[in-house]
Amino acid sequence: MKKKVRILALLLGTLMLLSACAPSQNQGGTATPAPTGSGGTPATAAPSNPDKDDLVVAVSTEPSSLDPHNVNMVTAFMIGQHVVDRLFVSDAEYNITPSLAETYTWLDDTTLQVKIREDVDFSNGQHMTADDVVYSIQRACSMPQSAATFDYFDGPNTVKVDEYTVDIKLKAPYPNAMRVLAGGRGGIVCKSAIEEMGEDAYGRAPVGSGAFIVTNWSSGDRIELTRNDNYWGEKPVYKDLTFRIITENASRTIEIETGGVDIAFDIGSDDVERLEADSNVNVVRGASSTMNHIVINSVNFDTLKNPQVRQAMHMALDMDAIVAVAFKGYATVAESLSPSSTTEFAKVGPTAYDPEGAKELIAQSGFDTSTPIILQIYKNQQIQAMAEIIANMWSAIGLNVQIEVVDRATMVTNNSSGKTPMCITTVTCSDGNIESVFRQWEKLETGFTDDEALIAAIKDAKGIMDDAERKAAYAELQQQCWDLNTVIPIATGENIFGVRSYVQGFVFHPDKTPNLTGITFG
Amino acid sequence: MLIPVILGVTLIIFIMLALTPGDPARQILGGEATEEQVEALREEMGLNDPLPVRYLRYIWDMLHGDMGTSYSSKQPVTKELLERFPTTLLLSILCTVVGAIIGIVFGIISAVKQYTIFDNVSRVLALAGISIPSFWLGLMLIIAFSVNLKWLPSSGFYGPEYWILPAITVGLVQAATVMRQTRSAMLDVVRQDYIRTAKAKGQTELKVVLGHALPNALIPIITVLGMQFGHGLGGAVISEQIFAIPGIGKLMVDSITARDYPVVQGGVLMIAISFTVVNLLVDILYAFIDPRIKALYVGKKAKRKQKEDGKGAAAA
Repeated sequence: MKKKVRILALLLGTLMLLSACAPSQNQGGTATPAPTGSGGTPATAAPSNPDKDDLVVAVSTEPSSLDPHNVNMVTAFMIGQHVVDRLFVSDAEYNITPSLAETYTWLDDTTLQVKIREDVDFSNGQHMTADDVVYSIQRACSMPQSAATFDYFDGPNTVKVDEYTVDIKLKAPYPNAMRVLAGGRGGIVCKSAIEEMGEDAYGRAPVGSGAFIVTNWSSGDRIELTRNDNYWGEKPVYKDLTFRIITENASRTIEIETGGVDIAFDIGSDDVERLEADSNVNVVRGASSTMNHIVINSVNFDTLKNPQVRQAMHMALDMDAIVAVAFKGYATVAESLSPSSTTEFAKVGPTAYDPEGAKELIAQSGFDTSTPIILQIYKNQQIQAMAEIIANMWSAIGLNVQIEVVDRATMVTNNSSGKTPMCITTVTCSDGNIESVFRQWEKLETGFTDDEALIAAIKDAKGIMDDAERKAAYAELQQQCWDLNTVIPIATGENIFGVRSYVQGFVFHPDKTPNLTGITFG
Repeated sequence: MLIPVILGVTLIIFIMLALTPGDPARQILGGEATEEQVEALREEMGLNDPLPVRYLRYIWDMLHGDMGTSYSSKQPVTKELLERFPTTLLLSILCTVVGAIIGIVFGIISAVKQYTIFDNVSRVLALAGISIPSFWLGLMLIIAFSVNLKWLPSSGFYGPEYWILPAITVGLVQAATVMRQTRSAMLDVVRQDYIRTAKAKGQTELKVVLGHALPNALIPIITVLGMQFGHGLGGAVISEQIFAIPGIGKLMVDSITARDYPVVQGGVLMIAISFTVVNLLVDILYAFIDPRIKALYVGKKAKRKQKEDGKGAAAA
């Protein structure tokens, strides 16, 4: 009897172990159709699910709020766009089309007159009028988390012309005004709802005129939306949209594999191959709008002032190797300061990998190679991998590099106050707007430059209304800043999504803000 | 006892957070905000006040039932914590139950069958249980039961079928400690004369073990289970992360990362109170398990009564 029990236990244990090690049952070995960077989900012969009435999406971070003017997170903008509509919307190629705006006219360089739709109600039944638009713009100009983006907007002088017409005033000519209005912080909020609910409560359940309404926010777990049946536009075919907050990469991948969710954001590069081999999942990926770069404070730190040393540091980096190892190949080597998705992108790089040349430059510069160079990073697997490789490559040209790992909050604080000599960080150019890259250059504290003429040129470029002229100005700035080597762009990573094969109409977005309203099930 | 613990914990966590680099205002506003905007927010959040002022204000608010408002979610901290606490409590109970059942059963059998193959295998498994990282075990269980066998969901905490894998993951690790403790306590007891006497009187082994040995070995076992339950109330951070469980542990980690001081302070306070309460319950449980401890309390009470009666009689 005892023997039998032992044998049974042994068999059970073996079964468990084998089961854990065996390939997944749903991995049929069929190659996933070629994923696309900008197109929709490819059709497959996998199981269909046309009667589905809900869409479950796994996201990696929980937004702190869904109030478009009071938040600083991409996930919040992605979810928020389904609830709070904007005057304009931009697609994955950043083409801007009117949404709540019916028509618009530039009265002069600093006045955009917008005629809004007359058939729009907020989800609380309140009719949307010009007052809500004026209020939204004035609020965006004054709220700390949106004020920098709305810097060029003149909130106090933005006025209602009639019940459905607004004159949006700018402080100075600003060609990107419509892009800002179409961006994450451009939501038109319901004035009376905010006044009644208070800002904090509004952030948890915003009243907007979007295709969905927030019905439940279970902290740390999920945000549930349901279809707004009074939506003015084309209504989604499904009723419920749920965003599940799953922070662990492996758990999100497993959920998409097992069908626990329909779409998973931020698939880890380690899991892409496995998912691509799964006939039930399509992997949709493409270049993101986020640039990973090394920033060097050449103003506050004497050791980093020598341009020859910085150039040598740039030349010593084999970017292809960094992309292959740290990004597992799911990234593109930087060719400029901004990702190629920005509308003013100009190819000015990459700098050729030349370790011997770098050594010569270091020798010519007279730099004391025993001087420790601190490379600060925050805890992030990919960034830590990059730092290790970079430190190794710099050590190979004789530099004494020390990696200092801090948490993200410390790094943001240190960076903003000019206390970080050098660090690896990221910049995201949402809405295809290159300004995010150059905004940091305008601040002396960041130590990118103290060249007043350069800073003035950066500020001037933002106001050039002629497209060709602006593009030329930004091209020159990109070259000039690239040559300074106070910012060493590394690579643009990919946004990788896992999508169940029956989900149709998923459109990749470089900002990681795909609109899910048009999703259907096949 | 609870009041000094709470005051001590709040003071320590306050000082620690004050010494931690990273500005909450800058964290909220991001790198693009100007210094003026950050400074205005710091002022609004009261972060420019001296530390003693902030601490006293916090204690004053806490005494009025206000643990502050989360910097990130703008929700009251009490609400944030109470939303998560039931999940953590349930997870902790389930893990402790799994740990207790497996650990005690295996521990008893191991002690009774000392140096047999069962004992040796159990000890190796217990060592493995203590050594295996819970994230690895969790992932292995997910791959086996969710991905391959498709028996159980891989993440979430929405019903009994969702509870199984996290409870087993944490419970198995706990079971290893409980098993070792049970075995050790039982070995001490089974060598006692009264066990031999019970056996000599012809009682069955099951009755001897469960009726005579186990009750006398329970004190250290209950202590270990109490400690593990208390730890569980502080959140099983790794398991919450892997199984996407919205518990206290995950909230604390996220709040520390975001420099959300009010939530961190409130969370630590809640954990400290939970732990103190669990310790108190364990102490009370001792009295029910061990008649000697019960007699100690009853004896003191009786003596006090006798003393009072004596005084009364003398006065009369």
